[in-house]
Amino acid sequence: MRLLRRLAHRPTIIAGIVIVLAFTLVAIFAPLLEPYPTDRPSGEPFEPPSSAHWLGTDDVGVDMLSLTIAGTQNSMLVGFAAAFVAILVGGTVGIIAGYRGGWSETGVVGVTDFFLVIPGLPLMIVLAAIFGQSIYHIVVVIGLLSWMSVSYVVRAQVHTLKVRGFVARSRSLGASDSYIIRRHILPHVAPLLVAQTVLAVAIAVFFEAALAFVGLGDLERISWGTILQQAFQHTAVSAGAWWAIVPPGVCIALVVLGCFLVGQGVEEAMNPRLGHAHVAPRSFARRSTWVEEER
Amino acid sequence: MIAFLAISFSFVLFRALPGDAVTNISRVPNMPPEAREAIRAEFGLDKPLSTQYVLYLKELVQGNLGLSFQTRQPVLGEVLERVRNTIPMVGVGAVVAILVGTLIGVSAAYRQGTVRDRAITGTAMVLYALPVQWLAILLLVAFAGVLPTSGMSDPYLVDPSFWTVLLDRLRHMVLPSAVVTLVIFGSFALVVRSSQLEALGEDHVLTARAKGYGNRRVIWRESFRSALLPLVTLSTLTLGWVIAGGILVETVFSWPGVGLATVQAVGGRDYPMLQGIFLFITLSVVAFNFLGDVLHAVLDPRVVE
Amino acid sequence: MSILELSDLHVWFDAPDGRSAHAVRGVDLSVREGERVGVLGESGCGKTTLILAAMGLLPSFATVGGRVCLDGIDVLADGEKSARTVRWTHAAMVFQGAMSALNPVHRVGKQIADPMVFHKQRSRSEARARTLELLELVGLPASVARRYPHELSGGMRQRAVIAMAVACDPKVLFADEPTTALDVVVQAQIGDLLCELAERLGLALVLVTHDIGMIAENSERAVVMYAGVVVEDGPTYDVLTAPRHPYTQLLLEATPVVNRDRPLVSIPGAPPRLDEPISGCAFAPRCPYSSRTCGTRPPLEGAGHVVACHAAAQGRLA
Repeated sequence: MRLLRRLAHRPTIIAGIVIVLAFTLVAIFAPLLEPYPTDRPSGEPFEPPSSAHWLGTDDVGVDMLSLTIAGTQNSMLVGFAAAFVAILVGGTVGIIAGYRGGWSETGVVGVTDFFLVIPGLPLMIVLAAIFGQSIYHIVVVIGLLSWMSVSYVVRAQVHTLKVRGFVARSRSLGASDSYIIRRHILPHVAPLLVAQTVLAVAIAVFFEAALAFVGLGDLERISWGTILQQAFQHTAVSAGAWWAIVPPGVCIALVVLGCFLVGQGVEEAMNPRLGHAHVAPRSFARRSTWVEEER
Repeated sequence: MIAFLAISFSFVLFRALPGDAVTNISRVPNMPPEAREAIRAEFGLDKPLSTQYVLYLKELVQGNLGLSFQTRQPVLGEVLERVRNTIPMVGVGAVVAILVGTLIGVSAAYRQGTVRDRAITGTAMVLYALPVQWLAILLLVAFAGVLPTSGMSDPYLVDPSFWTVLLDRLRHMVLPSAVVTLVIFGSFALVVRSSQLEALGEDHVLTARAKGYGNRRVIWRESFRSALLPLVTLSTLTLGWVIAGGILVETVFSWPGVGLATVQAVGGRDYPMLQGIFLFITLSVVAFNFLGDVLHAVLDPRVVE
Repeated sequence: MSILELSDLHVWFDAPDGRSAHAVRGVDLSVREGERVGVLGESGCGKTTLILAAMGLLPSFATVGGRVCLDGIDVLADGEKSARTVRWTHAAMVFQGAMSALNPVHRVGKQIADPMVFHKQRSRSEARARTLELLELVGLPASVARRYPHELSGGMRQRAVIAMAVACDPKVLFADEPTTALDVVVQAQIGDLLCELAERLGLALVLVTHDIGMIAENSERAVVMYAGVVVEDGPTYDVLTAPRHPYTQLLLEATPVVNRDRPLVSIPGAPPRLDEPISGCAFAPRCPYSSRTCGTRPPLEGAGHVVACHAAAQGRLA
């Protein structure tokens, strides 16, 4: 499609996709890539990076590189799973509410607006505290608090589609709702959903790390968030062991950045800015016209 | 209206949800059943939900949020004190981020496509992507010897004067506020930039240029006001968010604010405290959002009263 | 006596992919004081770019060649800097779509008065008084000054924009499609207003439009543009009743006439792409009179009513 071609022209999107793909691959093949086991120490506590341990070791002597790779798996898992929940719920709600309009839409708008206002992290903390700290709960909690912005955006898009007349025309030809949704609405909403999914992954990864940091992560699994939390709790700071702190943060930052580049790029490709700024630091250029251009 | 809903929501959250919030939060290992029953009775959980709700509202109006498990002090007082600590730190950080972010965003929009613009955009994106707690820890490690890294004040000051105390507090505030600034700055600059870019492409900007106005005037007097609207809403949203988002920063720097209190309440199974904090945070965010709506209406002459 | 003189004006636009479009390809034009000129042509012929260049209002990705002399000032000598000296005080513009030409967050009166103060022509209070005079001049009630643009109708906004344009007593008024998006009745009113103002204030009016009716009603001289060059230039009546250029002829023939039973005609083909070099006459591929001589670019020639066409010069036209 035209959209894909436009996407291919932008180096930032390519970079973003590469980053996300790379981490996904590492997440999938994590156990194969870990140089050392993660459940027992393979070196001295807080060993600085060396040729044996590229990223040094943590507070009990477990290899940092292996920990980071292992953490990739859970962090990306939470990211994708929570994003999936958010998109599934948000997309469905958004499409249906936008399509149907009327009371159901007003109701949905009320609910989404309400939840959009409630601060995310405190609510997640409370929910995690109530429901327990397994990874499944975390995924659900994060997902359930991210669907609102998705549905908001999707609903807006459905509205513009309705305005453009597809819906009315198809209906007058006798098409059923599900047909209209499938053939007309979904194709136009799909790129938006892709962009939102990617952004949702980034948000989910961030919140996973945040929850872990306050002690509410899934304690039995290794994720970037828990690595960071452990490092902080176990005096990596005072030991000056920066290698225990830097890798998980860098990973999170890279994934978020990659997701952000892709998501923003897709959105920009979908809505190309039509005008140009009317003022700029540089003036228009001047050129002498002595060159004869036409015979 | 939303405030009322928020309050009710909090009630639902803490009392009516399956999973029995009370016992989970107040969970103490090996708690004898009598103790659990005692807690339930104390919180009136044995009464029907509707009665609980009414009681909840009544107590709220009286400013009674219960007593903290950990400190045995009234929750309301504790929460307020923590909030008093959070606001300066977070407030300064946010305000600086908003001001600097706006200037830089406008500058980037004006210079769109140039090296400077790309550098600014890139930096902003990177800052936006960095996890808050990680950035906080890095700064902590970096400045460990130079600036105080935990708490809000030095407990060992002997007979301090007002200025000494103030200076001390400010020194403690530098790092956490800096983290807040850096984190917010990224997203803010990006939004300002894109909003201003759009404003610069509008027809009346060309008219302004045609009138012979210089670039400065066109940017600030003619187009910035159009770009300002979404910014104002964003600012108020940000301020509301930061109160909650400060949790991570406060944890890293042991800043005794409302964020750290949340974490401590969870860790200490302090149910009333947690409920009180949540309620307060939610209400203040709602208040800020409302403020944002009001400001938007004031600034935009197109909004029909 | 010429208030505006364009000499060998060229404008190129650079696209992000490196190519550049040659939007104005060597235009010589001179406008006398108080003259009312209509510039006629289809979308993309360069007429808007032409008048933007006359005020130096080109974007930073544009390159300009040639000379614009407005009221004795070389507008393009130094880019934005020199252009700013003529803006609003010597020449002003009424843009397409007045709806968005007015700043939505400032009151109308302020937008009219500000330039007067900015260019140090009047004090604040004088400017305010003059604003009310101008509003009366364009047929708007004084209460408009306190209003915001969105509170006015389309026609009122267009009048306000016109009042704004003449505020600093320019000598030339450029109007770019001033009546698109307005209903026919208002269109006529605005056209009349522009003419009336031009006469009263001694302005030269350069009216850019694709609407032949507008040109017929409101200009004394018609300039026809095609693919970045002027192809015909003469008294409006002559150009519209006895066009000398094939393009003008076909254009007029293609204009649907409501109460006559005539088949709809169109000019076959399409205007050439401006990002590729054009050799010779740009209209030749579509022209019924083209011949081998059309491989070289025809100069504008004639007396009083000039035309750029080899066939016309050779007398081969009907």
